Amino acid sequence: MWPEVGHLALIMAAWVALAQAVLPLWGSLSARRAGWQTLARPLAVLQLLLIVLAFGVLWHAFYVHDFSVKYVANHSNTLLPTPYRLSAIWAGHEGSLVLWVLMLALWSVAVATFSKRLPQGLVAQVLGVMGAVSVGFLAFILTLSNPFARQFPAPAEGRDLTPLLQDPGLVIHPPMLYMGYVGLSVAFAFAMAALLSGRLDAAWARWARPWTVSAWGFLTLGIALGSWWAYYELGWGGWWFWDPVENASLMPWLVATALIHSLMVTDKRGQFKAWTVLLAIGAFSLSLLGTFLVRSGVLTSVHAFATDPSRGVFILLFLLVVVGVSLALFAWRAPQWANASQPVAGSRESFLLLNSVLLVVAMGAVLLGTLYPLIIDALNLGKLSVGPPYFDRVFVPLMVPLLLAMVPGTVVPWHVARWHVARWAALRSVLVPGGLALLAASAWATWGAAPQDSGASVTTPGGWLTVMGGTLGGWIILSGTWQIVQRLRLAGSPGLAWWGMQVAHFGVAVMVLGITGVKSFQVERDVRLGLGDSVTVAGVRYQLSSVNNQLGPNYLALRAQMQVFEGERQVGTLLPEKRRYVSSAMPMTEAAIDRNLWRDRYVSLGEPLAGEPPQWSFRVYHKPFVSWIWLGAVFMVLGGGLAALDRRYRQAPSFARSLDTQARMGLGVSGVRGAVPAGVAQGVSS
Amino acid sequence: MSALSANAPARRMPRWVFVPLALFLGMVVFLAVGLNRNPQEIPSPLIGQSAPAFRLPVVGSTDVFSDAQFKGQLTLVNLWATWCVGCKEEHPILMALSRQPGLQMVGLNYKELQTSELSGQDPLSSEAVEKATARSQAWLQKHGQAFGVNLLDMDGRVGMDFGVYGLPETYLIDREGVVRFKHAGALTPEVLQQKLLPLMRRLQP
Repeated sequence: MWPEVGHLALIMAAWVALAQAVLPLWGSLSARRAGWQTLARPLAVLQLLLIVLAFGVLWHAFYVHDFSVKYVANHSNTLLPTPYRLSAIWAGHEGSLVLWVLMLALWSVAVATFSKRLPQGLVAQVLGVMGAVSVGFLAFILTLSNPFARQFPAPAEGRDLTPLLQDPGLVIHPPMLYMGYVGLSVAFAFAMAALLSGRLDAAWARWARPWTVSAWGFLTLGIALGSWWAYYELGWGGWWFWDPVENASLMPWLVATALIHSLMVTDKRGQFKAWTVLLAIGAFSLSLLGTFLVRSGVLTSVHAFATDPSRGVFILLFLLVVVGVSLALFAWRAPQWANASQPVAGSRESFLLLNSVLLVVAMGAVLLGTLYPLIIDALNLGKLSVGPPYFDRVFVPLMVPLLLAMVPGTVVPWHVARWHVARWAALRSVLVPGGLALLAASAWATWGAAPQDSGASVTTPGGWLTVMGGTLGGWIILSGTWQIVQRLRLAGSPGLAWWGMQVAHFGVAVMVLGITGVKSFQVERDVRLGLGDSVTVAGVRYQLSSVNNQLGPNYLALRAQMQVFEGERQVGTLLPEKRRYVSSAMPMTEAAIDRNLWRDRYVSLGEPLAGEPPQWSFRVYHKPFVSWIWLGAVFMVLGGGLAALDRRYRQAPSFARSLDTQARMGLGVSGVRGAVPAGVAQGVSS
Repeated sequence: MSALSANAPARRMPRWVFVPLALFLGMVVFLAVGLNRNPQEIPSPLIGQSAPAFRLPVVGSTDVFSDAQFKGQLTLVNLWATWCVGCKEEHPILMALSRQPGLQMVGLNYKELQTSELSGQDPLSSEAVEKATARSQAWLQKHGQAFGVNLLDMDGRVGMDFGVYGLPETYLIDREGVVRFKHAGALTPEVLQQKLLPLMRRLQP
């Protein structure tokens, strides 16, 4: 009976979402129906309650092994440990969509709760647009992806959750990613409200900022978790594969990154309005496109979801309506926001414009690479795939100027009025850290390589790429530290948003250093070992002491024991496994990793090899600085969190004066609180 | 700003505002076309070529089957294994096909014992072959004897020559011994209706 209750709850949620989409929006556009605007908040709460009920029912079905529910039978079985049984809800298509609408409802209620100071009309429009998005997804669930569909007779045992997904990293990766994807719908709804009402002022941008930066934080975390999981679970030692599904999450991230920076210019300077709106539409559209690419099966990917052509058609139509309507509205409204004043070269807004353009071009490159096989196929020009070489070659040259612009972009003042005064101070705070970073990076490139092993192919010592990556990362860190030291000498607090920016930029630098370190100094060996044999990688000896069978809750594992020696001293034991899950033939690799801040020692167990005495193939890696990649992401997320909590974003509308007038009258930034960059302010006053 | 927009003189729409919309619509066209394509459908270089040469013992008899026996009749070759999930799924379709007159059904049991099960043993050792034979026959007993001829490809060499990508895979070989069709993945009623049967009708005089 419960599954029917869940189904009914979803049907009711769809009607509530429809009401939430229509009534408040109508109220905001018609003076006679203005009272309907107040319906937005209660409807959002009601919708959330209904979806929570449906989600709970589905959870219950998994918990009690109700295999009469087809979705449960397809993604769980009685051997599955409880945590995975509960996370199996988002292992498949139908459950993922329920999670999607749950997140959307959560974001809607968050907007309803934390927007007490926003004008009624804006709240009604934002919640209305989010309701409309929810209608689309709920309709999709109810028509083509019902998670509560029954099957009779119920099978006695379910199929299993894909072994790939039976991992703690994968328990939280999808919810975080969806929080990010769906969170971008808030920015999108703000943009739509601006398009509908024609009102787009600094206050609008200020209100949109914390939402956007929170969604961006979740997206960052979700992508980082996915990459971390791929690193230890796939056994190839890689952390980014340019897989279509990875690209589908990277594209909205790139545009969302551009958006949080562009929103700042709209907030502080009243510029880039049309561009900001376009980015907000773009970020959410790319989330939808990602959903389409993953669910429709138009592209081949390791993230294979069982596909159904009618689902692809539905999502494509939904995409067409949502994005088509918003871009048509954009074409209608954008001319009035076209900026009369261009950013002055060398001003902060000019660097932020560069940031936006580079990020969007990078997104375009990823999009092209992802869709290229499809385009070629559609034009009957054959079948091909686009691999990492393309992405590396295109992406890296775009990221270098982006990182180069990061330091001056945080140091130079807004506009240009005081540029000549601040020039020396700004130059000093840019060049001194840059010089120091160059020195440090050169030293790193020269002496950073791991000890050479006899018999191994010679690893190239760090080249100019090491110097470049090291300089960029070091420059951002040193300059950030400099700015913080300068700012702490001043009175008053720079605000949480400023601290968030510093922490997130620090995270970017840490990630750049991690990528540079692992790309430059990684040592990799494929070996076959028998019992007692050993291999030396980066000066460390790995000795195979035993291989035996282990019994897990729902799998059999072949586990190798490897003793790790530095010189003659044993420093640890690594236990790589190869698992075979009872319900599926696919073997899974569980790499063994000895981590610390400076390097990972990574061993994965391959196939047993024929012959006497028995031997096994192993892959042994020495990966310097690889943890820094995810550590950097953690700092970026922390920075995003700090920025989202800035009090300034939650001030009353009366406080948030429109800056348009000031900007048009050619006033400098002096009237805007907190807008003078700390380093420069200090440089000027000293 | 709202006051400004209300009073703003009607301006001609600049063309750039339509660029995002146009780009998006262009992309949708490609996505729509892409929906009707299957990215998994990788054209086999074998199509239009003679089937690879091989000789394998027939399971459950002392006969030997070779590629020469493709000549003279239409043959369907199905690469399968008892450990393959998709094979169980498509088996009813193979059963239906086995009732088609004039179609020789050949099952190629590909690497029945996987490397991990062999644990270093030679896949062609009599012990391994015995084990695989028993398993293969038991499976067909249970799910249906779809194959007139069932072959054991213990070391996977024949499968490799066919260019196996993943199990199951199905090939249609014409009366001249030329490969005319390949399907990777489980056969579905759609593939059967839209591709396999029409092709078979054309190839059968």
